[in-house]
Amino acid sequence: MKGSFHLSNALQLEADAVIIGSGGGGASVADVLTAAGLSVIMLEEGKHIPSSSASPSAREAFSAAWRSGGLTAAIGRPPITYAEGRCVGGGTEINSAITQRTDSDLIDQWRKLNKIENFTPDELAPYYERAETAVNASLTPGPLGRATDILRQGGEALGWKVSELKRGQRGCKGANRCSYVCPNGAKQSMAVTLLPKAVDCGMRLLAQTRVDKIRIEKRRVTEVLAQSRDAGGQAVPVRVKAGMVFVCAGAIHTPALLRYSGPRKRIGDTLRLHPTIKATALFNEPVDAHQSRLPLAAITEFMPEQRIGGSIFTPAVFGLSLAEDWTNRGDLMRDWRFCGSYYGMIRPRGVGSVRPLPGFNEPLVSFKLAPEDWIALSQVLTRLSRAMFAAGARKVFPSISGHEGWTSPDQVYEFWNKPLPKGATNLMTVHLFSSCPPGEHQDSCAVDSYGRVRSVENLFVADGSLIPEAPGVNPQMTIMALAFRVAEAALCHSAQERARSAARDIN
Amino acid sequence: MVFDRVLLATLMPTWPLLDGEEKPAVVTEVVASVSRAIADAPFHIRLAVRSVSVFLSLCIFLISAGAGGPLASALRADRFYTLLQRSPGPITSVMRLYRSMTLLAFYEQTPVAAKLLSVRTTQNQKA
Amino acid sequence: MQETIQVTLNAPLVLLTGAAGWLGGRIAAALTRGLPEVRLLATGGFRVRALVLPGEDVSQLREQSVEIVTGDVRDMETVRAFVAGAEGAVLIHMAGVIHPKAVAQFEAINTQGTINLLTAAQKVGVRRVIVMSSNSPIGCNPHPDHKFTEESPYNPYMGYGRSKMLMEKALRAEIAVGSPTEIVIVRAPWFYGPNQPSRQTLFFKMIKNGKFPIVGSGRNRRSMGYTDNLAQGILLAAAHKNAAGEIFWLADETPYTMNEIVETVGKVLHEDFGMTVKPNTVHLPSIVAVVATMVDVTLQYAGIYHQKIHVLSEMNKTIACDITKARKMLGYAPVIALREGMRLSVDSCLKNRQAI
Repeated sequence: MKGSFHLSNALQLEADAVIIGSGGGGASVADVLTAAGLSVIMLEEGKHIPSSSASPSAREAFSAAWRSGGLTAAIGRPPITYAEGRCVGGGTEINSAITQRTDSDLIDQWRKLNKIENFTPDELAPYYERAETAVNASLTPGPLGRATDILRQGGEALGWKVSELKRGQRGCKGANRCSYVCPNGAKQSMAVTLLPKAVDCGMRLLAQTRVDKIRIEKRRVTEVLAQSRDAGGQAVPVRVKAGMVFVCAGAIHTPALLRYSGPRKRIGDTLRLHPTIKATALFNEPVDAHQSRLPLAAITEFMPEQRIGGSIFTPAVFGLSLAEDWTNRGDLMRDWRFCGSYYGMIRPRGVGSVRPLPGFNEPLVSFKLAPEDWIALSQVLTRLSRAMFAAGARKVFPSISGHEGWTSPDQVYEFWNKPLPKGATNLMTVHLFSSCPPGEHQDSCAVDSYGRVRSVENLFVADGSLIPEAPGVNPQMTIMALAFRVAEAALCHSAQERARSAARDIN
Repeated sequence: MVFDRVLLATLMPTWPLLDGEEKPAVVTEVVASVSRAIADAPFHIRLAVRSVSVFLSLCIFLISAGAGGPLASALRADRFYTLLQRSPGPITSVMRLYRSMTLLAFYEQTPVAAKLLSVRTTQNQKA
Repeated sequence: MQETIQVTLNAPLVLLTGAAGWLGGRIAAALTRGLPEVRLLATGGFRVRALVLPGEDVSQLREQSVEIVTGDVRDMETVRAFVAGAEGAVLIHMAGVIHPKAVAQFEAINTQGTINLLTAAQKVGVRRVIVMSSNSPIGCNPHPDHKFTEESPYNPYMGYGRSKMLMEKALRAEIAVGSPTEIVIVRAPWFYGPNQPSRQTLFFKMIKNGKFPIVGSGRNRRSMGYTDNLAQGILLAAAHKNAAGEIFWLADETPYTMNEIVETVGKVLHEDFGMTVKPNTVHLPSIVAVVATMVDVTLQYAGIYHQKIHVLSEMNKTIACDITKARKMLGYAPVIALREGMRLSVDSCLKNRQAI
């Protein structure tokens, strides 16, 4: 053990509430609690990266703001690579800040399925509004560039619905570095919106502080044990005592931390994500996608089951994408200015799981696609490729290793009636959720309708883990809406009420 | 890591062209960058990468000994990598990981990035 | 009397590498005083700057008032000095290594050296680069009546062939992305002509003594390029507007069979120079070349280059190319054929006091 690990060095803190994680979920909880005058401590594993020091280099950004430098994957056939933010602001620092609400029908379905109380679209609407106001959800001003036009042109040529996407932005300058932490502070991420507001209200934010364990005794959290770093980089143990604990560490680390700390039932058993397949389209005219904003339109005709959109594009990130089949696609790099990266994502039927591994910082994440998912992926890839050709693509390369690419629109039906090759298909996702579904259905729900962990009176989940199933849209607004709701409910219900509920929970 | 260098040298793209001064500097930077990325990776990835990379580098070392230069080595190694694509999952995955990290680091090097940006937007259909 | 072939180069400066070499020397001559023997003359009032290796004989170049830069293409400082101020210039890159001390030199000189020159030339705004390649990236023909075209796929023959293939691929990548410096690749096979290096004199000696090893039937064909024919093709590639981004095979009008080559040289030695030529007795079965190839491959794989084994391994192979594209696009018209070319070569050998 490290020499500095002595109890006498430990930092002992106390507050009304402690929030674990500073992403869209944690920041929203902080907003509610600080406004109510509570003393709040927030613990964040990653560093604070001010926009002034955001690096234009993908490598540096991945290493500073992405969990495990971006090297994260859900095990399965095929493995699905995923991305998570690990910095002050969490995922909101590295996403595109697209603000979409979940489809009302889906919300209704979820309410009925999990018996979630007070969970109608109308009841959620005020929380969505609060989230949208917090990030200034708005259409991006100015020309959006060729990369967006391609989606619009392709979708419209096929008679499909294409929507311009609102984003959490204020004065976007089109740096095309959304995934590397916005250098202009224009993206309305948590680090420039709710977090400074909460800190102004007295919240203490400890960055580079990783929570190891939540100590639970007699249906109550007594303490949160964490490890921080002092200025010299030395480990400093931190113990926080608080009346309420909100776990907002994301759909992977929230269940991992909970399971490691005790509660296991239905936790981390129902991970969902948006399996996403990419395609590279080569055009006759320059796209110069690196100069424009990332594609800010999406083909929404097939929502919420399928959506087609565009990815961020820099020469280096494009080069990186060629690694999946370097032998056949390496030469595409010469034509990088003529290429665009686009994707199709689906709402899966498959389910994954999260399991902490003793002694490891990262849990074991797996995801098993269902047969229906393969059909949906084939469909969305076909549709995406049709749209690319309709927008004038000369060649389309699906993200299938060893695939030679399509040169005409009639070739894209190759997989319409048959599943994609499992071994060669490359899937990724940037949307993870559902690992702690809420509701009163005790057989299927990890937490109650308001995010309280079963059998524990003062432990709450407030992040993407709460979204009952894949929403088919970018999840940030839903994450924030549900987190506002959890925090408000926690304030409404008295400690006695919660203690009674916890005692009633079947364990 | 000496292993990384042997392996990564064969994964460097041949274009954009780098002159005799730029090339060694870029290779050194890329190796350093990839080694850092592996060091930052979660333990299980580090473990997988390390256990496979020693084997891979040894193969590459033997294959490319006497090839007479980085490009010729890469040519020989390419054939080996094509064979590897049919090998068990972990080896393929580690290879892909190395390839990805090498490409990202390579294309972000200053001389390489500058050359990429100076590419003209008129395509030559002949070549 | 046929008219002189005038090639007009619109450039203030012509840069020439390998200028002290066998073919390079002929190009330097063509650029400066012209080659009256083959009625070839380059015009345009340009200066000529040559890159030569330390220790090479530059007396000829000095006589031709060529500016001289001494150094190696592997050294960037040399390369930068060589291309300094060469905006709008034409660069003719003839330097290369065929018979190296170690296999490593192939890539360092032929591939990386060319990349060094090209990248430096692009930086200073050289207008066009003409690069000498070879038949070796394409390998050997599948049968004796086959001729390579510019579309033939790569099938590199050994270390040299690989280094030239990698060089061509690097150049073609730049062509593909629309390099502002125009690039022309010219490929020449086995060449012959005056001022040949002593390894070629050995070839005459063996024929004179009846000891030239004919491997197999001797009916395999070889394209050969008389140096002054090649010089014409190279100047045309440097001057012709449409040559940019193209590849051209350059050689004599037709390929010759191995028997024809040996016979013709014998005739030249006997009839034109009155030497006694013993009838050729060394006929080896094809298996010899097969074995030599195996040994050569093994040695080269280990990084060792052995010239005699390498040459022997090629003896029964057909290496023939079709020069139609150069004729049609550039107006290339080789003036000298085997008999006359060999006569001039032997003549030059004797004048240079190389005993045959």
